[in-house]
Order: sequence, then structure tokens, then C-alpha cells
Amino acid sequence: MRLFFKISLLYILCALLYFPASAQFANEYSPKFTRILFLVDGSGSMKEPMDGSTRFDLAKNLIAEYLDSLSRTSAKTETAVRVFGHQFHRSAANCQDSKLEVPFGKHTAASVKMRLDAITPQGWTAIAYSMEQAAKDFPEQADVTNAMVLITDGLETCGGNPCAIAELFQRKKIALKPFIIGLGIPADKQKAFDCVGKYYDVTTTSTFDAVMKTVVTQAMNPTTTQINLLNAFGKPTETDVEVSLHDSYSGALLYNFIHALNGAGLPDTLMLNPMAKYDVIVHSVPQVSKNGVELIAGTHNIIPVEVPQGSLKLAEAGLYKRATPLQCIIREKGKREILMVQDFGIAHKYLTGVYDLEILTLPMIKMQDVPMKQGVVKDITVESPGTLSITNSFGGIASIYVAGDGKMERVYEFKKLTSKEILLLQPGKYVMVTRLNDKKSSVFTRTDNFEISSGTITALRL
Amino acid sequence: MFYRTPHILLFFLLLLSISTFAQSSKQNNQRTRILFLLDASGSMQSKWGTGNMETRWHSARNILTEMVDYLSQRKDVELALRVYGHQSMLTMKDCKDTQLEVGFSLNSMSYIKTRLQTLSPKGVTPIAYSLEKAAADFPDNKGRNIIILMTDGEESCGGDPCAVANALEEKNIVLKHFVIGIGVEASARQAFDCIGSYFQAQDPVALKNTLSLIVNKILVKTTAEVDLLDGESNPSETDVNMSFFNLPTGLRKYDFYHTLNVRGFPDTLFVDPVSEYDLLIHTLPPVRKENVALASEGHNIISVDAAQGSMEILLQGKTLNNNLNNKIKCLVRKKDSGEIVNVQDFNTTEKYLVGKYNLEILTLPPTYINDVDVSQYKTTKIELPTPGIANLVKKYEVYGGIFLVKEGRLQKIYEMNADAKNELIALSPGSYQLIYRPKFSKTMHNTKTVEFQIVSGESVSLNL
Repeated sequence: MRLFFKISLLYILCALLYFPASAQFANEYSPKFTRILFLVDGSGSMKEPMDGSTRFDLAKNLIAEYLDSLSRTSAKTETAVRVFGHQFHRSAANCQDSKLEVPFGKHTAASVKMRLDAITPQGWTAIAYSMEQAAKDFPEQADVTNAMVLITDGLETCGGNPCAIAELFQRKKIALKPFIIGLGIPADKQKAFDCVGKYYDVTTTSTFDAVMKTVVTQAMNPTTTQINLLNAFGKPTETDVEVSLHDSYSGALLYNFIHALNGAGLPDTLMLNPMAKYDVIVHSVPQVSKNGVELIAGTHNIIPVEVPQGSLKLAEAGLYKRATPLQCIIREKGKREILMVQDFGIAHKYLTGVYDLEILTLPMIKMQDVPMKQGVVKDITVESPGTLSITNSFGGIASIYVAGDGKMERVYEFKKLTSKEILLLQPGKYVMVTRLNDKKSSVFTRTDNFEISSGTITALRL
Repeated sequence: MFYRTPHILLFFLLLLSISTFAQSSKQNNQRTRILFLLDASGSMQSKWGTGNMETRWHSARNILTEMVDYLSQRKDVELALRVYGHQSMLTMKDCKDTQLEVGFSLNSMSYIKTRLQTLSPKGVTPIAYSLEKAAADFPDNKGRNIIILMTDGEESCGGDPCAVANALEEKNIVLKHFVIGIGVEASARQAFDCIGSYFQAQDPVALKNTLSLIVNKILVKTTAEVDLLDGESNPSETDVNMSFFNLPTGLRKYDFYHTLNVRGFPDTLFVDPVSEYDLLIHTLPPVRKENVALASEGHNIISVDAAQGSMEILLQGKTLNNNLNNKIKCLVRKKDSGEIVNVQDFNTTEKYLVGKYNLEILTLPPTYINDVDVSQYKTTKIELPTPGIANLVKKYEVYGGIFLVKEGRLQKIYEMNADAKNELIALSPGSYQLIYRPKFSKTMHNTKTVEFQIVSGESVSLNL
């Protein structure tokens, strides 16, 4: 027993060596550091008093304090500051008033404080335009998680669409969904930011710190993902099926793998870029897709996909062995496309549901509304065929029918009978109609009734 | 106990009919047996006709006697006479009052004439019971067994004559029932129509004519041909089986493989003119012509539109593995109804009715060819490249499948058999991805993807 265990362990180890993590997983997402861009509102309204000073001063102090503490703790973060609405007076109605005041760098606290001190809020709120510009502030570099923190006291006033720009961020994987820090924005107007990103209403230093902690956690902690393939009872027990992940926007195939449960019986973990949006396709039969899946950065994400499955096992009774396996066409109920052509002798998994089957015996066996149930092996066994043997000396034309109740369905036709014909037929009663060449006239048509039973030969001598 | 004897007899008759499968082609020389089932119920004593000169019974008796005389010249006809309602008075309500007065034999005719003179009408009208009994009057069902019921009233014993008559026809004991209503109301048609072909006689002259008409229909020599018309309405289509189903029973009476004679015309069939038929032409898909009736006399032409063309399906190129190629079958569906018309094997030619078809070909992946046109006299060729073969050689048992990239997305076309050591898979030419991971592996990170190309008629070995 122990020896067996050792051998099998060795075997598995060898196998694992033989199967190194394949190339596609080399591009699994593992960021080296983080960039955070602060996009600060410098519009006229930021002069309004708040918490003993102005909104702008409050924002300025919060950022400066945060950068100060950051420079002492983390070496893996770069920060930058862009301001909008601060260069032109409100009366100028300048909607392109946006400037990167401090570019990305490691220790920016001092320069940020200096630049922000020199600013007087005065202009318009060009959020969308500024976000678009900010996208270019992030250097193009892989293995970096980018985040943008928008600090504002109002809604877009320049007719731009910040939501569209936020989508662009995700589409091009520029940054995580923006974090929005609202200063004194009325509750009913906060909804406008729902499509932009995660909104936080900040009134004090401590809430700002809490928000920044979230931002940093999301941007800096690893993002892990597991895909739970749920059975009919909501349990993640389905597995061993191919899964592919596509970028929702470009459609590009990012990963494909065969789902596995780890040693603990749980779906194993994948590192995915949290800045992207995914389409998940589980290649069950039929396949199941889940589109537009977003991840929460810095956490463990679970993507549940309902893939309840049962199996279909097709078998022929008896010992008859065909040279070519008997086939069964499987269609989803009500659909025309062929879902699968399954050979007899094996089992396949299908999503739970109702299927229509066409078994290519002679005659064809049609089965409608075959149910597939969670975890159940649906056994379909058809009788094995019998052999019809026809001998004749004259040649001719013959056809075989299933007849009865005013019906007569053609099963097979011998266009040119040879002296010996062999045909496999399902057990049952048949009619053969023949016109032999020695008496080539309709009135010499002959009709033979015969019966086929499994595994035996029925001989007809004409 | 009472019913036992005839039922056993019925059973034997049935056995006989089943064992004689090779149907006779000499339909025209068959013996005809006519059983006259004559009403002798009390009401037959009523007078009728112009001036109310004679009773219905006298008219019926005399007309029947004349007919028997006429038929005595025929060597291929046998007659019998069964009468009901003549043994017990009406007041006795004897619902079993029926008697085979003269059975079938070569010299039954003279007996019938004498017997008719001695009978007189009295009792009730047990039609259903009489028909039931009549089943045993026929010695066998090899000939044409016909019942002519002559009655002046509906069933009066609560029986269901229609059910009995249908059962006799369905069991192939009686070929056909005829009914003559002697002086009955026109409204009685409904009660008799379902027994068989119904004729109404309002007076003695009509009765005489009607009986002649029926006998003539029974004995007339008719021939038929079925013209299977091509697209130009020429009867050039042939070599297809045609089934005639007797009406109303739906029993299959004849199968004829349509044949053109030496002059190139549809050859002559002998179809019993006493019945009507549904005709089923076994083209693909079949053509049905309903309620085909033959005229009483001469040669009948039954025309059916059956324009056909051919479809040949071929695998082009080198064959690597016959057994795998044999799995490639073609489901031929009617375009409009979607119904499967045929499953055609590759490298064969099959005829179809002219029209549009959709094909589903069981290649891997399946090939769908829609709107395939089959036209008159033409052979539509469907050519597919022979598949190539992927030979999967496994070191370990694996999970996985073969995928196709379609519009940037992977589509599974084949699921590997996790228990099989090696697999041979016939695939249409193209590029594929094989995605797999060892069965024992506990992580998806051991998934491997292999791209491979399939070329028609060539084999690719993939070592997993």
C-alpha cells in the first residue's frame, strides 16, 4: 500500500515536471508597483468654506499629508497630481483648463505641496476632458497597477461624459475604475458618479485616510480570482471542463484552461488583471458564457457560473460489434443545430435540460425530450441489430419498409440488388417490396414480410 | 359460448391471411363471392312503387332472382344468401333471427332461387348481428368477399352495424360492403353510409337498376396505370414503389414497383375497382394521393406529380480510414418543413423530389449546406474533401477537447474520451486547437494548448 503510494507520488511528480506551467500562464497578472494619480478640482466653487478652511485647501492638505506618510512607508508607489479649472477664470469658460502639475515620481510630497499652494481655484469643471488627459499621464508600462483618485465638489460643467472616459480606462486597461472623493456634493447629485467609479463622500481627514487606504489596498494587493462552476444546487463541484477568458472589449482570447479542483477540492486560483473586464466562456455542452465580468482589485474574486451537468451514456445491448460505431445526434430541444454527435459505447456530459436525440440506426430511432439531470447518468441502451440476408439470382430493385396503421415508411432501398445483400436492421417487423429483373413488370412486384431479431440472421431467398 | 365458434374461425382466417405474404398478382382472375344479406323484417310487407302494387319483399325477391339468373353464367362468381327477420314474429323481438339460407357453393344459385320463394318477412332488423354472423359464411378470404345488404330499415336491435362492417373489412374478411335502402327516407343515408357504399332505391325500378349497377361495379374489368409525371407533365418517372391503401380501412392492399413497359409507357396494373384508395408513392419525400377511385369501366389513368432529380454526395481525395469515413452521413431535410427525408451515405446517388433541401453532414465539425436545389433530370453534386485524421497519442489520461476558433472565440467541436488511451479523429481540413490537461492534475495551470492543422487525406500524430 505504502509502496504503491510512493510510486504513484513519483509518477505524479514526474508528470508535473513533464507538464510545466504552460506559456500562456506566464502572462498571468503580477504587478510590480503602483501608480496613483490625483485629479484635483480647481474650479471656482472649491473656494467655498468647509471644515474651517476652503474645500480646495482641505483637499490640498489631505493629499499633502497622505503623500508625506506614503513617502515614509512605501517605495513601490509613484504619485502624480493633475488639476483642472485653476488656470482660467470662470468668465473665460475654458473647458480645456487642465494641467499635470506634478508628473509621476517616487517622492512627490514636497513638490505637490508647493504646486498646490500656488493655485487659486477659479474656473470650470472639465472632468471628462481632464480624465482623458490623465490617461496619457500614466507611462505605458506592463506590470503596474494604475489608479486615479478624482477629488471634486461638483459635476461636469463642460458637457463631457466622464462615464465614457471611465469605460475607456477599462477598455485600454489604463487604470482601475476611478475612485471619486466628493467634497460637499448633495446626495442626489452623487448618483451621477455611479458609472464613473466608486464614490466616497468625504468630510474629514479621517474619512479621507480611510478612502486612501482602500485605494492603496486595491491598487497594491494582489488580485486573485477563482471560477466556481456551480451545480444545480449552487455548489462549486463541477470541474474538468475547458474555460476561456476573453477581454470583453477587444474580444481577445486571454486565457484558456481546463478547470480543476485543487487538493482541497476547491477551484484553483488565477491571477487576473483587475483593470480589465472579462467574458468567461465555459465549454460545457452546450457552452455557457458570462459576459462583462469585473473584478474588485486587491481581493479574492469568485466568478460563479452555473454549469449544472448530467451525463448521457449510449450503449447497444448484446454482443454485436460494429466496424463503425453507432452514432447519435444530439440537439438542444427546439434548436436546429447539431449540438454533438456522440458515439455509442461512451458517456458524455451535458448541461441539465431537455434534448432531442436521433440515433442513426436503420430505421432511425428518434427520442424527444430526453431529460438530463444533475449528476445523473442517463442510460440509453438500444437493442442490437439483426442481419437481413437477401439472396437472389436475377437482380432487381427492392425496398424495405416499416408498415402499419395506414403508414409505410421507407427504411432502405437497394437500387440494384446483387446476388447477396446484407443489411443491419433494428429488431422489428418489416416489409420488403421487390421487383426482380426476370419479370420486369409492376404486377410481378412481390411483397415479403419478415421479422428481425437482435443478433440473429434473417435470410430471404427471392 | 355462443360466439366462440365464429371467433375461432376468424382467428384461423387471420392466420391464413398473414401467412400468404407474397401477394397475388392475378387480381383480375380472382374468384368473387357475393353474400346477399336480405331484410325480411315485418316492414318488408309494406307495399311500394307506383300505385302501391306490390310489397317490398316481392320486389326484392323477384329482382334478386333475376340477378341470380344473370350471374349463373359467370364461372368466377359464387353466391350465398343470408336473411334476417324471417323466422320469428315481430312481437317476439328475436334479435338473433338471422340465418344463412344458402351457403357458398358452385350450384348455390338454383338453391337461392327456390329458397327465396319459401320465405316470408316477419320480424326485427338485427343488421349488426347478421353481419357478425356473415363473417363465417365466407369459406376463406382469398377471393373478393363482398356483402350486398338490402334493407328497408335501420338496425332495430341496438347493434352497431358500422362497427361490425368496419371490423370485417379491417380483418380482411370482407373486401367491401354495399347497402341498398329499399324505400327508406333520404335521411337514413347517414346510418348506412358508414357501413359501405350506400344506394337508395325509391321504387322497384330503382331497386333493379341499383342492384345491376352494384353488380356491374363488382364484376367489371378495369385496368389502371399510374403516370408519374415529370416537370413537363410527361409520365417518365419510374422505378419507385407505390402502395395502395384500401379505404376506409387504411389496410395496404397492393405494392407495385412502378415500371415502364418496353414501349416506355407506364405498364398496366390490376386494381380492384370496388374500393377507393389512398396512394402512397415512395419517392423521397413520399407523395400521397388521396381518395383515388377507379371508373367502372376501361382503363384508368392515375396521374401523380413526382418530378425528381438526383443528388450525389462525394468525398474527394485520398481515403485514410474507411471506418471513420463511413461515419460521415448526410441528413437530407426538406427546406420548408425541416423534416428529415433521408440519411444518405457518402459516395452514393439518391433521387429526390424536385425542390430545395437543407443538408446536415456529420463531418467534424458538422457541415451545413442550405438551399440545395434538386432539379428535374439533373444530378446535384455535393463534394466534400475527405477528412484528415488526428491521431491522439496519450501518455496519460487527459481531459480536454478539440476546438475551432470562430469569430475569435473557441468553439468545442470534440470532447476527448477521458478513458481512452489513444483516439483517432476524422476532422475536416482546417486549423484546430487541442486543449488538454492530465486527469490526475489538480491545477488548471497544467493545461496545454496545441495548435494543429488538418489536411485532407493526411494524418497528424499529436503526442499528448
